[in-house]
Amino acid sequence: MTTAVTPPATGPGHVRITAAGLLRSEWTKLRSVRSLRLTLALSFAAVAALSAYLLIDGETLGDGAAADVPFAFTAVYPLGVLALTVLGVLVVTGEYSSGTVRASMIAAPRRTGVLLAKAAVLAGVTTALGALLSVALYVLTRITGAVPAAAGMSLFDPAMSGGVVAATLLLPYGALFGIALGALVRNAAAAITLYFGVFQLGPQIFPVFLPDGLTGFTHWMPFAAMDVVRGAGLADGPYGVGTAVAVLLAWAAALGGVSWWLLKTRDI
Amino acid sequence: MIVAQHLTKRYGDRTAVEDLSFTVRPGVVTGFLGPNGAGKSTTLRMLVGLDHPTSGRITVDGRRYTDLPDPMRHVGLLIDAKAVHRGRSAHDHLLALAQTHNIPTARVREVLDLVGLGPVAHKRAGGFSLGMAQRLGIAAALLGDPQVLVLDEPVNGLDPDGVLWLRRLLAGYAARGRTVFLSSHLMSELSLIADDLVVIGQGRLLAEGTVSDVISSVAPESVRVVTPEAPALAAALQAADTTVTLEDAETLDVQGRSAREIGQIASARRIPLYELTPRRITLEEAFMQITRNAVEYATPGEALR
Repeated sequence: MTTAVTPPATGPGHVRITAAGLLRSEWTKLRSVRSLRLTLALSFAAVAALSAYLLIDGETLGDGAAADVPFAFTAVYPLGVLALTVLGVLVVTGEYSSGTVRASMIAAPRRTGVLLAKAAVLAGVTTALGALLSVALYVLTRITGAVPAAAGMSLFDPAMSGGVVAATLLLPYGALFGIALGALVRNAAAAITLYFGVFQLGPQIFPVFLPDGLTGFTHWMPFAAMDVVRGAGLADGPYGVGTAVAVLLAWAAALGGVSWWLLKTRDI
Repeated sequence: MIVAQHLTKRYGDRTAVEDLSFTVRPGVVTGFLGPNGAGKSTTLRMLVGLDHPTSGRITVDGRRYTDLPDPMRHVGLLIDAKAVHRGRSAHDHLLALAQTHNIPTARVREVLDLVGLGPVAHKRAGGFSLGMAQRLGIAAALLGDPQVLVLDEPVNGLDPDGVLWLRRLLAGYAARGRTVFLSSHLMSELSLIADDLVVIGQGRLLAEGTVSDVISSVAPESVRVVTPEAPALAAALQAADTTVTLEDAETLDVQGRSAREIGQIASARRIPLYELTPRRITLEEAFMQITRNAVEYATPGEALR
C-alpha cells in the first residue's frame, strides 16, 4: 500500500482478540441484560427458598430414607439444574433472536472462542453461586437439625462432601447443557422443547416405542446419570458414580462437539 | 484494501454471487451498487466471515478476515443496524464488542459521543429509533478505528443532519488514507460522496472504476451547442474522433470534444454561440442502463427459467 496511513487512535499493539478479552466480553453480555440476570437470580432463589422451607419445616427430610442421607439438603437442586438449563439456552438463543450474534461473530470471526468463553463464564458464575448456596444450606441444616444423618458432621466429611460437591456441580452442568442445546438449534422454543421432550420426558416415553432389548438405553440418558451422581453411592443405580460422571461428560462432549462443529461450518 | 478474487457463493442451487472479482483501493470512497438481490450483502457477509464462500476468496490487506488476530482494527462493518439485544444498553453492547479486542472503555464513550448517542448511552437499545440504531451500528463499526470501513445502506433512517454528518465522516475517513466501501440504493447520495464504483447484478460484476469512467462507459459525455450557423460549425468540428449530430436547425450534439475546445473552434471561425452545455447522464441513469439486463426479477423470460 502506497498511501500514508495514520496509526489507529486506539493505539498500542495490545488491541487484539485474547481469551481474557472474550471472557470479559461474555461477562458483560451476561450481566447487562435484565432477563438473564433475573433468570440466574430466580434459579438460585427458588432452590434456596424451597430448601430453606424444607429445612425449617423439618418434616420431609427428618424421616424416611432421606433421614439417612447427610447431604439431603441438596434434594431440591434438580429444580435449579432445570432452571439453569433454560438460562443456558437463553444465553445463546438470545444472541440469535436479537441478531447480536452477527456483531459477536464479526468481532471474533473464528467463533470457537466466543462459545468457549460463554460456557466458561456461565459455568464459573453458576459454580460460585452453587457453592455459596450449598454452604449456606449446610449451615442452616446444622442450625435446624432437620437432617439427622448430618448432625455433628463436617462439610468436609467424606460422607457429606461427595454428595454436596456432586449436587453442586450439577448446577453448572445444567447451564452448560443448555448452552450446547441452544447452540445446536439456535432457537429458544426449539431448544427448550428438545430439552423437555427428549431429555425430561424421553425416559418415560421412549420405552413405549423401543423394542424390549433397548429400553435399558434410558438408563444412559443424562437425567438417570444425574440421579446416580446425586446419590453419591448411597442410592442403588444401574451403574456406579464414576460411570455416571463419564456418561454425563460424554453427553456434554457429544452435544457440545456437534454444536461447535455446526457453529464453525454454518453461515451465521 | 479489499480484494475479491473469483468469489462465488451458492445456497443450494441458487447462486448469490458468481465469479466476482474487484478491488477497493484505499484513500477513496467506493460505492457498491446493485439492484435488490444482486449479492451485495452476501459479498459483505463473506468479507467478514459470516458466510463461507463456495469458492474464491475475499481479503483485507491481503489476508482473510478470519485469519486476522485483530479484525476490528482492520474492518469496521455496519451490516444490520438492529443486531442488538433489545434489553442491553448501547454502552454495554459496544463494551462487550470492545472487550473482545481489549479496546479501552474510554473508546466506547468516544465513539458514542462521536455518533451523538452519548446522552442515551445507558438506555435500553430496544427503545431506539431506526436512526439511533443506525448510529449505534456505525459506532460499532468505528470502535476499532479500522483501516477499512464497510457500510451497508448506512443512510437508512438517518435524518438530513445525520446524512450530512455521515457524508463528512466518510469523506474525512477516506482523506486519511483509509478505505471506505459503501453500499447504497440512493444514487444521488452515492454520486455526492463516491469516487469509485463497483456495480454488480445477479452476483456478477457489471462495471468497476471511477464514477466518471463508469458513467462514460454507458454514455460518453457530449456537449449541446446552439448556434445560428450550425452546419458551418458542424463542418468545422469534423474529425476522426468526433461525432456531431444535428438535432435541429440550430442545435448540435457533439461527442469527443470538450466545451472548451468547441468554444475555441467557434471563436476562431467567428461563429456565434447561444448555448454551450456539457451533457452527462446522471449516476442513476447510468446505473439503470448497466443493470437493465441484469435485474433479477425483471423480465418474464428470467422468471420462467
